[in-house]
Amino acid sequence: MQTFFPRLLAASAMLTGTVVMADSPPAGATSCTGCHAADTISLDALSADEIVQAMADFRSGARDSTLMQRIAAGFTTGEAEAIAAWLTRE
Amino acid sequence: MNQNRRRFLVSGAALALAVPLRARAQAAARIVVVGGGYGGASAARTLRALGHDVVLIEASETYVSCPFSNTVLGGFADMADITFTHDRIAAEGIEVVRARATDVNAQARQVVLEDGTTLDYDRLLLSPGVDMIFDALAGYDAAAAEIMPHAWKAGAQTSLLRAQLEAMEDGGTVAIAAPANPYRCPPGPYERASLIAHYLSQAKPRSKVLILDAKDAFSKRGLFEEAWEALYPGMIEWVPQSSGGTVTGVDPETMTLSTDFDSHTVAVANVIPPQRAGAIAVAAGVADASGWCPVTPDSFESTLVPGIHVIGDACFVGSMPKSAFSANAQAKVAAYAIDAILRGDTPSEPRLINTCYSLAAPDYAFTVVGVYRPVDGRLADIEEAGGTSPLGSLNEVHAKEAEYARSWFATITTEAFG
Repeated sequence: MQTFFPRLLAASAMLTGTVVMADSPPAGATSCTGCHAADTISLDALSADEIVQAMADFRSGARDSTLMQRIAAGFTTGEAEAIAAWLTRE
Repeated sequence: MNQNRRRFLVSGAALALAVPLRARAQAAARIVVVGGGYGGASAARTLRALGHDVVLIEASETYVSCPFSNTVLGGFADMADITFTHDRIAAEGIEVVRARATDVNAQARQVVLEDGTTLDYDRLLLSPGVDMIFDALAGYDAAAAEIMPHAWKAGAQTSLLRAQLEAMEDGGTVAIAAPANPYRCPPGPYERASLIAHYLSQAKPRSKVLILDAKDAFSKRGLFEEAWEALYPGMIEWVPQSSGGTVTGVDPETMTLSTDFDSHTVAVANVIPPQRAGAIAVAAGVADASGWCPVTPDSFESTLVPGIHVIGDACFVGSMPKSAFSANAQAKVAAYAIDAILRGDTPSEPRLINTCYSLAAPDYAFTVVGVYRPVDGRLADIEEAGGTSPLGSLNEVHAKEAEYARSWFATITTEAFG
């Protein structure tokens, strides 16, 4: 449980009593946790800016990867920003 | 609209000022999920995390993973390593029903269980996986599969095939009959050939692996052939369709596989027959003449029967391959889409990712990746993205991908099963 949607659950708890509107994830965002979880290749320590930068560097090849270049190439900077904001929402 | 839904709307109206809009809408919905594999389990957990009442119908006490089942055949993992329960899912408040769903009444929005019990749903999500089409190959039926295992549903079939490999004498031939597309796990037969060769090269080095294929190309072919040359030179032979590779019939008594031009008598026969969507999908009317279930890419709702969503290996949604990663990714997209539909919203346009690791040895892996978006009602590859690991990679890169493969398996099984 601790590795599954920790931020979603935390956000829900924090927002009790208010109207939660913007939970619909941006395109592609829910696929990330198929590989990235709290205790494996975690994204939890990264800020939104760091995630966006990593995606840009994977896309350009500035940062070596096994497969992230092939995934990052499917997302624009704007799309990566939306995903990063959703992954790091509190 | 069923009773649950009506009951909710009454209480919802009474609580309109006190309860958040979203929580109110969520309390209404009862979603029935059929199938406790990667797709169904992931969808059930996501829907539960979004606040819905979720019922998961799964006949089996445990789920044995097809991904990594070839590591058991290769002799470097145990069945326990690929076996999962639904205990943690149940502990999260998902009602797990141990039964086989046999029919669906879409008009009444009810799922029918084997014993006649009915379960009401607001939305139904089917993740039934595949069924083998027995008798597609002459002589290959359920009884023949006890002698020539398909091992394409992991579990007893996996144990049986492993036991046959262990009992085989050195110098024997292990045949793998690979089906035409589409089928569960496109690179699976070739990973299996690799990891069986890994075992044989250590334990029975005079043995051979013979792949009899009903097609002329296969996923990650260049990478597999590069690995076979480096790791198991001369041990694995691939016979493509155009060279008479298509298996047309089998004789379990003589352990013979017949092809158009030839017959092969072998020590161990792994016969992977053609497949189709699991039986409940056919009963529900969501499978078409192809045997698979056409769905819309935004919500994975059936294009044939409204209110029923189909994910995983059973669905057809374009170029996404039938893999556990796909099923998990589709589960999350479908769950958020169902949540949106139940709130009266339109599901947003999704982007889906598939990542598929294949092991050629315990420390040697490579990947194929795809990124998909809806085009004309189907998911299509984004051309600029995706593709396979490069040919000619250093062994340390293959070792890194093998390490990531294990990491992926740990992560996705935790996300699916808790």
